[in-house]
Amino acid sequence: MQSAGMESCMTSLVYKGSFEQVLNRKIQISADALSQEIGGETVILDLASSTYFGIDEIGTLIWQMMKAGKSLQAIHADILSQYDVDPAILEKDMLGFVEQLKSAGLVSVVQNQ
Amino acid sequence: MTGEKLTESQQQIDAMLCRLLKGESLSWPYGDSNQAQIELFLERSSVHGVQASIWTSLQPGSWPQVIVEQLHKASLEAASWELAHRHALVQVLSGFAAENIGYMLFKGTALAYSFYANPVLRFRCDTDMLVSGYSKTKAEKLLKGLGFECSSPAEELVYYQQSWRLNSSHCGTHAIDLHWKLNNSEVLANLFSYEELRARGDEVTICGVKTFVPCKVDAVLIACLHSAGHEGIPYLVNGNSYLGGSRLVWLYDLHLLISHFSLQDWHDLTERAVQKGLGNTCAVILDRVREKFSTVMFLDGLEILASDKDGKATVYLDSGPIMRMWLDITACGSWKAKLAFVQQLFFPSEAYMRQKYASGSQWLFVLYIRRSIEGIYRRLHAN
Repeated sequence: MQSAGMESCMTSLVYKGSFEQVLNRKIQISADALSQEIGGETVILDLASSTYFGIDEIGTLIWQMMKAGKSLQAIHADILSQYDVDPAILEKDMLGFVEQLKSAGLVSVVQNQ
Repeated sequence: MTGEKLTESQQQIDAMLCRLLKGESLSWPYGDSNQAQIELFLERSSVHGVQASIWTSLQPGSWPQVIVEQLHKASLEAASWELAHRHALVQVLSGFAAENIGYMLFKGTALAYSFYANPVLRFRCDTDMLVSGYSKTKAEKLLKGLGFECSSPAEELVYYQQSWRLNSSHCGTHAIDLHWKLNNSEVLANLFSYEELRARGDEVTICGVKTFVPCKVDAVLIACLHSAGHEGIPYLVNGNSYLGGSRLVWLYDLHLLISHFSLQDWHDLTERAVQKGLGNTCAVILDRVREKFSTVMFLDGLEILASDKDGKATVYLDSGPIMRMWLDITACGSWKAKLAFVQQLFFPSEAYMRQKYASGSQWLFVLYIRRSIEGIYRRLHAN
């Protein structure tokens, strides 16, 4: 999503590790990251940097599942069951998304399950 | 109350906004190149405070790109505002709870978190808090301690509210309107006390913090009082002044509230409205709601409300500005209070004038003349 004053989180970056390496890990959302959904999209305010971010509908779906405490593996499986998408493409997009969130300081990969 | 005089185009656009708010699936009827209608649609949706609400029910493919983009932008801005405002608000509410200061939220924020599917959809610029007069000093101290600054000097006989602003590097500027009476008019100020609203109030949770809001029936009475009050007092949108109580965001609040009404609620509403002298005021406003949103209403209840035409509050709200002023003066108890009221109304204290017109003339009488001219100008130029 592109919008004035906001940064996009949904560009394709390749995660530094492999999908398997982070697959079973839980993503922890930073306490400084406040989020609000509107019309299927989400706006995130990072209190630490006073920056707003916008994420699109698929990003919102992933974000909400992360907030609910799901692992990337569970999120991947959930999205595959709801959308007709190539698993490899979804994997790449999810890793890119997590990397973006991570480099913005909005999430951290915390633990092996 | 007569409502605003609108052009035919404005009426058509307003009717479209109502249909969108009701969730109807509409297409743009004027053609993508009709710039005048596009601009009017954007202006009216902004004036009515409903851009984020209608964005969520719009079918983007059948609307001009410029409208889709503007409403999308407005809804993201509203979400951004909500995030930052809620962050500031939660600190205030937690502070009030920690200090054991009784308070209630009312109007916009109270309704946003009680009756809207998403608080972002209820446009507002601040949060209204009501405290008991006994807690006012403690509340002021707490807000000051949290970094808020009071931007309106209190003139207790004329105003029963203060605007407190927080300028935060994280979140921008956010305002809390602190009220210790529900209304600034002398006639209406004591219609509802904090204590009675709190006793009947409902609990809501905002980000884990428990808070109180008026019950449905009181919320309807307050919303009617607020809308009717703006028949005589202009409100500002994007720096422009507007007069009238038919702003759609307020009427839609009432639509949502009434949609949750039971027969018992209608019984309580008619009884309380008549007791407060607000019967016909409520009937007129609720009739507008029914006309705009086809809200299902208890018609016998509306008839009872409409038959109460002589209530003190209704007489006041139906009056013009000069009569309202006179009624406010007569509502002051003693002659001393009446004189003090008149003095503060026409000749506020020097400290107030110096603060309000910090960059103005050094001569106080010039500032009084400037204030009078501004007041007349605002009233004459209200849309």
